[in-house]
Amino acid sequence: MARGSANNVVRGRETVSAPDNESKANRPLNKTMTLFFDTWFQFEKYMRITFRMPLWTLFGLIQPLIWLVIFGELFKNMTRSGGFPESSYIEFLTPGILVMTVLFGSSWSGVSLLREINFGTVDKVLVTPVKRTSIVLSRVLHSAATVIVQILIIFVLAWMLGAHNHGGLFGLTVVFFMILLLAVGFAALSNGFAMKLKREEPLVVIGNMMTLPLMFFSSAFVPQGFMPEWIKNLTVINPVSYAVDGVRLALRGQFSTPFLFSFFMIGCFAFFTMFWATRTFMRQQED
Amino acid sequence: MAPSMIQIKNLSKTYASGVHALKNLNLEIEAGEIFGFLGSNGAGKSTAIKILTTLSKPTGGTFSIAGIDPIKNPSGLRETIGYVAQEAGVDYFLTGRENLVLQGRLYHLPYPVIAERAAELLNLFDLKEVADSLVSTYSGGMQRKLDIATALVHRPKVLFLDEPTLGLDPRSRMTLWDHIRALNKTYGMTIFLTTHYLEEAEKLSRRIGILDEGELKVIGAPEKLRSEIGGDSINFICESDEKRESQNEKWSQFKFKPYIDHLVYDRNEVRMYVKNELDQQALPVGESGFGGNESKANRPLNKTDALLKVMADAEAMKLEVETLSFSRATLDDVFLKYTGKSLEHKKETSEAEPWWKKWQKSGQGSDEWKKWQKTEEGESVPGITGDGLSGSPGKQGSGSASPSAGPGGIGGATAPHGPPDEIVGDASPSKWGKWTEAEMKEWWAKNGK
Repeated sequence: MARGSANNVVRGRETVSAPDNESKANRPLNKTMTLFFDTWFQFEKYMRITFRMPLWTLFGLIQPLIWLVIFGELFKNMTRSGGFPESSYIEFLTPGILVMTVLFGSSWSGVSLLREINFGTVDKVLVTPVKRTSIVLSRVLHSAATVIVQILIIFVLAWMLGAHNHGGLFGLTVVFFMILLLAVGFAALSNGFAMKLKREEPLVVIGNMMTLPLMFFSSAFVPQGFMPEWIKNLTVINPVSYAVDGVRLALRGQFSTPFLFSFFMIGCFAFFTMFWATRTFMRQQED
Repeated sequence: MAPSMIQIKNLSKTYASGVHALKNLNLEIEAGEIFGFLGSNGAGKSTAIKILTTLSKPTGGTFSIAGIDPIKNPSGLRETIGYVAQEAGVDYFLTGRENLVLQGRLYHLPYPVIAERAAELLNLFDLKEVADSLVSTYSGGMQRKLDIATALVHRPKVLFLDEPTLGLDPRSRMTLWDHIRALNKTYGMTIFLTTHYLEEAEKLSRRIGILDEGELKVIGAPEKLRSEIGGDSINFICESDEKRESQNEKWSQFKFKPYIDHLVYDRNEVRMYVKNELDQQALPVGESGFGGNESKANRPLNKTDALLKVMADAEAMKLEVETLSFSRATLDDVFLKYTGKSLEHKKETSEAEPWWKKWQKSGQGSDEWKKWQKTEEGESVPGITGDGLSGSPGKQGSGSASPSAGPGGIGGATAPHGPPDEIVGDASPSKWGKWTEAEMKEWWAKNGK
């Protein structure tokens, strides 16, 4: 209705208004499809940029391998003490390193969001009729996608170092999916904090404060039986702990209730952080 | 009169911090118009543009663009407008063409249309050769051009430009101005720009609005605003101060001429401010001096006539003068009148300078300096505060710091305050010492930003 009156007002300016109608006719009908395409084209942009900086991407890929080797050597002898659930420490450690890579990789997603805001790139997207959710979604998915490549490399190296997958192809697929959810969750968290804090420095501090304790308050490096009681209690509220447990159970091939529960918890984590980040983003932008 | 494209009613914005960035803005912009918002940094220009482009929500008031309400139909509004921010929003690691294609995608255009328009825009902005190189290799001017091009992929009816030539070299600036004019002409695009460059506002805009501390102070065509405030002056420059003083008696006779408003003596210079109401005075036949009376017998007197008359009189009085110049009121004088601040003046103090340098520069011979001097002597200062504006035309002229931006280029920026005949112009740097530290701090708090 408003559109109709607009065309009346500017009658006589065919050059401008005619192509506008054309664009309307060509728009996807479905809201979900619009969201999908909006997200896809922005996601594609981020991927393109990533591939244009191969050296940095390579560094990012190599980092988890260093962790795997160093931690693997450092804690190797822990398997000798009684009550250790796995016979090979590398096999125990692999899920931990996988999760750690996700955590370290996606927790800095917000830093680049801030940079984009300062460059005016975000405003440029916001003045278009693009779905608001797609802006956060595409960034988060990009973080997740880079993480996936790292995960593949870790798997190969861990296998070479003697770790085994008992979950089969199904196990691997499930692991990928969980890792993806965790990456989405932490990238969303980082983006949300970026929007709240609006400055890089505090965001980096929060990132550091968040990632390391979350790693150590989980069973990534040490089995739960080895933890003091108070840390064991903390693991209950730690999404990283659920992710490590879930991945470990999947790689062991134990797809029972504890596994399903972990999976569910990570799903909730990803959903709620995403929801919070998108809402924060929209509120802050409109202010 | 063209139909209005943008309608703004009582628009205001108060940030959570309590800052009133925009106060009750009322404005109507016609279709096909280039409108410029002129204001210093922090005047509320960007806030206004951010609200109009749906990037920010107003705390009061309404607006519509091409009849579209931003609350009822935000997507429709966004499709109607293009926005070029102060910061180049283009992606550095994409090529020029990729940037254009992405933007087209975000406007939900089908690819064939995007490809065609991208080629057209790259051509239009002379970016064809660099279309497929990364933006990070572009010059500042090229980046800005691409930025504008990306805002045009969906063929908006209204284009918003926030400080379009900020930080560009003079040549790129001119090129960009040409492009902006061409867009307006060929596509009939309504263009809404903000700037703090006087020249830009004047050369591009059909109408300008002066914005200060969130308030729209005045609106009108640049030419009209300039002629309204008066302040055109004819300047006689003698070879020395003494020479000028010795002829004071002769100068003062000009005060009684019908076309002169008042005189100002400044060192070796006499500035005669031409009356603003000249247009209403009819010129009798055969009295227009040097052959100005070609066709019309009774045409209104204009400022050239005044200039010729003054020269004839000066000739008759046998005045000894070295140089003669004519200064028109500049847009800066208009700005000064309505905001009490000068834009040009601010530009001189560059960001890179240490604060004391800025203070020295601004303190020397500026209005503030004069104000301090006057207050010390216990006099009131007309002109700087708003009350001087409503006064007599004489006071109006004396309110402006230096209406001498004409080609005559009268050096020094001495501000004549007080009665026209008073001899002013002594602002020697040695008097800085009179400022106490508290005064300096207060002044800096007020003007330092």
